[in-house]
Amino acid sequence: MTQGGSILDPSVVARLGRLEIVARSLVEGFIKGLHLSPTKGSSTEFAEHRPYSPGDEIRRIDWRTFARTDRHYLKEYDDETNVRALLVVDQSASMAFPADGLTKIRYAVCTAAALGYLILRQRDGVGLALISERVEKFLPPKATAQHLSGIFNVLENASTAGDTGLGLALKQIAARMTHRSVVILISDFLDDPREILKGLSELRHRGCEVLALHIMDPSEESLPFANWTIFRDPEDRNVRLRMDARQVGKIYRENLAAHLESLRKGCAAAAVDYALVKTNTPFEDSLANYLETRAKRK
Amino acid sequence: MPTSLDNVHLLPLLLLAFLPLLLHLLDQRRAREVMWPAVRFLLTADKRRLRRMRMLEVLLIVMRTFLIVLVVLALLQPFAVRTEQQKTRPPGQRGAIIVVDTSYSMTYRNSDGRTSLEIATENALRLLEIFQPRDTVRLLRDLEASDDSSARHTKTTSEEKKDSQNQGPLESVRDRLRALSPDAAKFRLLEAIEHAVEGTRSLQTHTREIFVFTDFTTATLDTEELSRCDSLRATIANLDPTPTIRLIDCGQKEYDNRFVWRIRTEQLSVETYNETEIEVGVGRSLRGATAKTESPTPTEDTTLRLLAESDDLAGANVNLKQGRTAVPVRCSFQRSGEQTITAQLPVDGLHADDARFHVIEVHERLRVLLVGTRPRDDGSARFAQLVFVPSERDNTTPAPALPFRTDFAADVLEEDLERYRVLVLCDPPEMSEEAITKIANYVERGGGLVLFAGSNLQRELWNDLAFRGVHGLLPGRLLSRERAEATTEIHPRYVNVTHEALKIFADPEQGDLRRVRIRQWTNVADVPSTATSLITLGGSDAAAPWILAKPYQRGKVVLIASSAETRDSTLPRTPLFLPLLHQLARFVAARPPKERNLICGDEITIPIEDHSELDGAYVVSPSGEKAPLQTVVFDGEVHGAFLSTNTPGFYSAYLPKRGIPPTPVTFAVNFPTIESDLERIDDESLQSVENKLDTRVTADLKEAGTLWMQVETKQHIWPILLTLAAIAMLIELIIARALSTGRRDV
Repeated sequence: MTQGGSILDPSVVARLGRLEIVARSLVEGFIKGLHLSPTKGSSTEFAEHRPYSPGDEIRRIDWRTFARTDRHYLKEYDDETNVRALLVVDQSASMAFPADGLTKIRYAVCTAAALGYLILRQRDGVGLALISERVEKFLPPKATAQHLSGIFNVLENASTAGDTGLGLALKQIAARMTHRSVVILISDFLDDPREILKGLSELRHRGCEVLALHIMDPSEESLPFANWTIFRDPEDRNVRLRMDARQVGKIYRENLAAHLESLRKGCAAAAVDYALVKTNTPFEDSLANYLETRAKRK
Repeated sequence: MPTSLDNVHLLPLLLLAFLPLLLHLLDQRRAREVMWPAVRFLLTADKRRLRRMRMLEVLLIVMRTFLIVLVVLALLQPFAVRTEQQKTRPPGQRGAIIVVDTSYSMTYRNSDGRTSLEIATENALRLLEIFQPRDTVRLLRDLEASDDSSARHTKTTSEEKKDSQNQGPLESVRDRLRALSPDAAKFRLLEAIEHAVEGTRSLQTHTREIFVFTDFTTATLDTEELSRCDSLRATIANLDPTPTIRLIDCGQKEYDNRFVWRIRTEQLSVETYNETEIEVGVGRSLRGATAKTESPTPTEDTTLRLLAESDDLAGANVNLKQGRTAVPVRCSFQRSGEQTITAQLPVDGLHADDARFHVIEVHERLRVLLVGTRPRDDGSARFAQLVFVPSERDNTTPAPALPFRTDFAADVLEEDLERYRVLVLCDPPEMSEEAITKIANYVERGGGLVLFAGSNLQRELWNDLAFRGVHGLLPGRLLSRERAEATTEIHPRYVNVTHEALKIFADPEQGDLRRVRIRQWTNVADVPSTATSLITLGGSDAAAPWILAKPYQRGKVVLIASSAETRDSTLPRTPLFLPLLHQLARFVAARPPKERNLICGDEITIPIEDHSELDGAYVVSPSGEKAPLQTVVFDGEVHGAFLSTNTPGFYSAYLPKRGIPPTPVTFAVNFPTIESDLERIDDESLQSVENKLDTRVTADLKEAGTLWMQVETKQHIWPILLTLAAIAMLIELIIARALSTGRRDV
């Protein structure tokens, strides 16, 4: 589904040169005006009551309700404030696939740039974290054009290295989040689903809204080999498998499907938005899908 | 089954068999290396399914290799050279040697009245029908007869001519087969085959076939000679064309045969005044029997008739209880001279062994010659003379009728020793070499000698002439004289009462020889194994033989190592001296019974002085036929001989020149015991022969007659290989499909 006029091949867009231009070209046409903050704040428009739980600010307890019912309720209001969004890009070695053509990391960077541009156009703050098995680079969210430029600069120079360790990296990010934010995680999720979901749960526990964009190269859906192949793991040089691809293809696909399924279910259970994005999917579609999903949640 | 190839030049194509493996290895070698981030999904692959896929792939390679091998092999046009028995007549002239067992076991008559030999003959005649006039068929016995004709004196010239004429035409062979009769010759399977194989060398024919007709009884095969099969096999293999052997079983399925396996009389001479013991043995087979014990399988309750010329034994029934193999019968003979004894069993399948014949010599009185110093002069022979001539001891009382006719002589050179059965030398002094030699010759010819070795005996001379390093007649070397000390009493320590001569002393109540006191004796050493120690001395010294016995040539010798005088022992003064000396005399007087008791095939020989004794001499066989005695020379001595002792029974030889009317010399000829054993050759031994000689025993003449030709046939194998290749291809397709299904799922 395309929102806007330009329908460009992602591989072509990715080669457009400066990331800023790429982002701008992607975002133009997608601006739909202000969107509501998903966080509850201290605005005047009452939203709802919710039971008190330890850790909540005592000052937010609705004493009237307490006097009437002897129960502690917090009074919540819709907060129409700026969003603090954090773009989390996985730059582990596995993101460098494929060796020729549009790599997953390039696609992720472009997507992140586009989202950053989009978020800043909405006058929300945007930050960036590059992760592998840990947090490699962290730029806290800010709503300035200069900051976005810095983000673009970091993204431009992002290089793949290290293992995928989403669990630990997300925990580290969660520890740095002081405000409720929107965390947009862009990764190939080639990690143990349990560890990934632990990290996501940690973010959710911090009150962050998490958007998981699963980047996948179309060739990864199957084994596009018809002969004996030596498979090497870019994240572990010790792994070297000599296999007849024709024999293991079915098994591979089954394992992949199981992996995706566990991610999908895990994210749903943790109230994490999850979207599988293939690198041949136009960026606009990804953005549109994301925004539509966000709109539905509102 | 040897195999070979038609297209050997295509053999290198077999290298194509490595192609699947090679391609597989190349395929693996060409593997592209890729960085694959999702390799984790391969690491966690289902190992069982992976293993199955790999196994299928290996199987596919194997099947493809197999397929290529099969196809290439088919292209090579292999063929098997199969040696099989051709059922049609082979081209060319056939040559055969027929061997028929004519041993006595083949005379067993089965329930339909036919003997094994008759069956063998009939089968052999039927076998001849498959041969054509141009073929050459011979009987082995004809071949042997022609080979041995110069060596064997048993065949007359006319017989040899007849035999040689029988080689060749089939009709002649038929006549010879019809004329076959049992004979005394033993039939040995391996020996017969060996002779037949040698005989085939003379056959200038396209085939060489040997047909053996026998009953396969125990006597047929000497299991100790089974090793001969190997050399025989090698001999057969070296012949071209290779002889084929067919063994045709003409024996019976079951045998019912009992036989008298022994008639044995005492080792003492038999006299009209003494009872004697005859032992008759009956058995069913020789299983478990040994040459020494001759103890065949015990029989069931049996009644047999014991016949003798003497009235006492005429038609006596003897009962042999179950589990016994022999029964003793005591009897006495009224008449001296030769006595014939026959033990007769009820008739069964093998008639010839139902009776056994025996000849014994019965004496009225034994003639004894005493040699020593004059008895009246208190000489060395005085006590011995009292034993044999008691009348001279006491003139006042009538002499008892002792069964000896005794003469005395001081010098043996003056006597004709042949007139006496027993010679008693009572420590004779100063004997000449000539006298000792004469005595030795006398014993050699069958005389009995009782020698008292006292102090007068010239020991060195006797040792030189009569001991001769254990080969002479003396049972030991005569050494020094020994004397018992005054304070020491020497007595016989061991008396061999189981010996025939001392049996009467088995009961000590009858007299104990161990109470005899020995004062002087002659040491005897170097006792040969053929000698038996009857009495051994004991005392302070080690045991020393005192009385010894030894068979020597056809006679016997008993040596007493003391004189027959009281200065050497108390024996002459004891009542035991008389019975002891009588028994010893009877012992040495008894001749080995085998001289007159022969086995079928043995030669009857009678020593003669000169050729004139054989004028008009003849032998009457059991069937009543007369045949002249032939002249043969054994060891330089002339004998009258009769060779055709094929029929069991009594043979009487008459020499008219020896007296009128001529006194017959009777011989008992018996069925060879081993031929009575109708047990079959044990399966293991027979199978060994079959395997080693590449033959089979068959009772089916048709089989034997038709399976007579080994022919090599070329059998192409390529159709089988192509069929296998088709199957392999089918399997290959199935495996490939299974693999591709797995891949398509991918």
